[in-house]
Amino acid sequence: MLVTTPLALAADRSDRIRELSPNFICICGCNQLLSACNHFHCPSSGPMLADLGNQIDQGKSDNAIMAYFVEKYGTTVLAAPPASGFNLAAWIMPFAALGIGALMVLFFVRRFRSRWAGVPVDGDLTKYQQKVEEELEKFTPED
Amino acid sequence: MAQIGQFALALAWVVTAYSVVASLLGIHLKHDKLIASGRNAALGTFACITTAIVCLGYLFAVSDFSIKYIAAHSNRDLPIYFKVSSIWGGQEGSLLFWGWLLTVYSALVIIQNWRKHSAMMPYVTAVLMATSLFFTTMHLFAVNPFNQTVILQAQTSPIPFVPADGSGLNPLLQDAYMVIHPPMLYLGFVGFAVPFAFAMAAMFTKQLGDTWIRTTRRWTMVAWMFLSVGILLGGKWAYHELGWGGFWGWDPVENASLMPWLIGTAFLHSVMVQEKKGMLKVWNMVLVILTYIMSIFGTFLTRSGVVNSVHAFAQSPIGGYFAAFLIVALSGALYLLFDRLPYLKSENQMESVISRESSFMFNNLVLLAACFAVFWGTMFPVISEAVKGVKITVSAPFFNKVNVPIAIFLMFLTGVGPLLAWRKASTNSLKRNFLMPGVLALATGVVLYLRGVQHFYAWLSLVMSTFVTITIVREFYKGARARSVGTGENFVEAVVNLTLRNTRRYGGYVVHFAFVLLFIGWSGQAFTTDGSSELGIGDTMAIREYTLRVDKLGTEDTPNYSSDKATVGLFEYGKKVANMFPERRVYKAGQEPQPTSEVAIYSTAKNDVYVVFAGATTDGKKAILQVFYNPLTMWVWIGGVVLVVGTLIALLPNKKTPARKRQESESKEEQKEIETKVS
Repeated sequence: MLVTTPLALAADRSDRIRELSPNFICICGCNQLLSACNHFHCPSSGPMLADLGNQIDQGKSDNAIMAYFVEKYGTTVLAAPPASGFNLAAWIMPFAALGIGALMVLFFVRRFRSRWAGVPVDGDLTKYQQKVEEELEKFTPED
Repeated sequence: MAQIGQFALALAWVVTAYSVVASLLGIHLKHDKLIASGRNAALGTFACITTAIVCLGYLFAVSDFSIKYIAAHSNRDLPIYFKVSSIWGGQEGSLLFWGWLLTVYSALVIIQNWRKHSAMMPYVTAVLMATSLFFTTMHLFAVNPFNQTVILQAQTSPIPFVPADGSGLNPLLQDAYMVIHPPMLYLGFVGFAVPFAFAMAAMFTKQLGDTWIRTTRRWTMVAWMFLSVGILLGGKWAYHELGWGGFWGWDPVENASLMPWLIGTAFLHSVMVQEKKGMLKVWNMVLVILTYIMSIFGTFLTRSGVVNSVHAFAQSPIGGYFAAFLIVALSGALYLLFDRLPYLKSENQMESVISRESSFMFNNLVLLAACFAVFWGTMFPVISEAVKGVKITVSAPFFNKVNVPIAIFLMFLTGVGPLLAWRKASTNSLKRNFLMPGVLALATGVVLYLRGVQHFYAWLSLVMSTFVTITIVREFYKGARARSVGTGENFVEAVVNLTLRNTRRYGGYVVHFAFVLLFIGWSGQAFTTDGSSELGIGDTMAIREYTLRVDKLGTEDTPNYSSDKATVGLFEYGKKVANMFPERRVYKAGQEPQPTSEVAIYSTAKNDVYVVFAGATTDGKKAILQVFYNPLTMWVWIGGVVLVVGTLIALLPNKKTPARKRQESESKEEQKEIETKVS
């Protein structure tokens, strides 16, 4: 146990670096994630990763590390906007648009369906429709 | 030669403007000769811009550094093929290339359709030439590629200057994929101008039936195919050249190409509803307008610098031009659309939520939602800066979180669509069609989970891929079996003939299968691992089942670059499978040395081993290697090839049955007889 604990801690530290580094942008100007920036003689990624390691060594939480990075490097260091305040709009809008769009499609289909439902239907039509569907199932599609 | 190019550009501007005016005036005055003159002027524009681009290519080939653009994007020792590709290596040349491709498309469209669609073509010509006029205006007044190299000194006018050598082409662009990727991408972007022009012509002439859609169907598919290939080649280039181990980083430039692709894909699906059912006419107009606008917007986004900062837009020489053109084009098209709404009534009604028609609508919705998510994420930094005054970054973590679930839902719809009948799917047919693919997909999911695929989205993506594959195979099997029974053909013949008789439908299924392969490749990214190590000669490092051993370290010096390189032996379970040669190049042109990675990739269907030579230790005795283990990446590129094959199948004309051929020839003879009697 005494032997494995430091190793486990080291593995845990590198795991946390691996997990947290994609949340930051390297500030060298390459616009790449800190985890991905590996260009030659990059002046920023090495020190930033070392900084990240130090914060982990101090036992800080993920949120505290993020706050530290924002304070030190500015808001542009975060790879995605935090889901709070004005930035919440960034996260909500795509799904809101999808939801509103889905409601509009349903409304569109139902409106036309209800119009169609108003048209008097021949009693035998359903039977024929079923027959057509069965025939279509066997049909070789060459239209 | 520069003067000839400059003159050709000036002439192109005059001829293009004349083409627009003559076409519109000819229509207004019903003056056939003026209309024909407008058409000829459009062909003249093609000749002028071709002359200009040939001149630019020649100036690159002879390294004429008296031209600013040549001096900034080339150097004497650049290989000739990169000199040619330097034409689109910078802003001025790439916009000229864009404009030239537009004139190529315009000339082809005019030659192919002038007689067939005589009423629409003057409008088509006017719209295409109006777009061309916008680009020609920029070539001439904002980003002229033939401007001279000058020295600027205080209180004197600029002094012409010829540098001894050029600054060189950006080393990242000195790659075979960069030679072919931009032309493909631009062929896609520009190609969408053709359906847009026909849509506008249909609205102007009030010929709002299927004609414009049937006429532009192949043009749209061709543009879509080029754009798809362009995007995938961009990914391939990034994978080979950028050295970070991935192929898609949600960079604004990548996003700019994805947005028109997403709307174009929605359009390709919804036109089928209009052709088959006479529905969604307004919607198709909206989509074709948005695809065109997004193609222009994508170019604006990447060229104006607006994504870097809202202030860069004002400083950019082309930002104002693009913004003005986008506003005019969008408002003009939408005004026309509102004016023509009474002519765009649906011929049929939607009968059920569970039908092929509504599945197309949901497919459109999801594609547009994906496009909006990309647009919103790309523009949010600009919005944040404008509204709150705070600069933020929106990068891969945002796009992955938002778009991955949307993409997987889209994959689900890809499988569901073909299982639903047109008009209305009965409960029985739903059960019959969904049971087998659903059960098999879930069984695959269980197996995958038990075998360790426990990343939720990757697992779901693979389950959906299985579901879609089964539905596609089932469609081919059902059709071929029915054909085989009816005609006595063997199964393979039946599959081939079935496909050739309805190329669009079965080509479409092949394209869907391409997306299955792409999704499999993307799913593999969830399981990427990497490691790095400093290795001397004979040292080894291990990653999963592979061991890498540095066998040799060396250097190379060429006129264009010098490089540090390593020879690395790759062993799989102890058996040697390859020698890899990762490099670190430093390009000499320009005032500062420009280092780049030349990665080495060992690729199999199961995984890629991706080796980056990150540099040498200070004593030069060890190589710093970064190694990525990327599962399933090859399937992305195979998916790209299948996508092209599927689109080419869909582009083929349907093979006619002997009965239909007979019927057609009989109706032609009848027509001739009637014409003879009438005359």
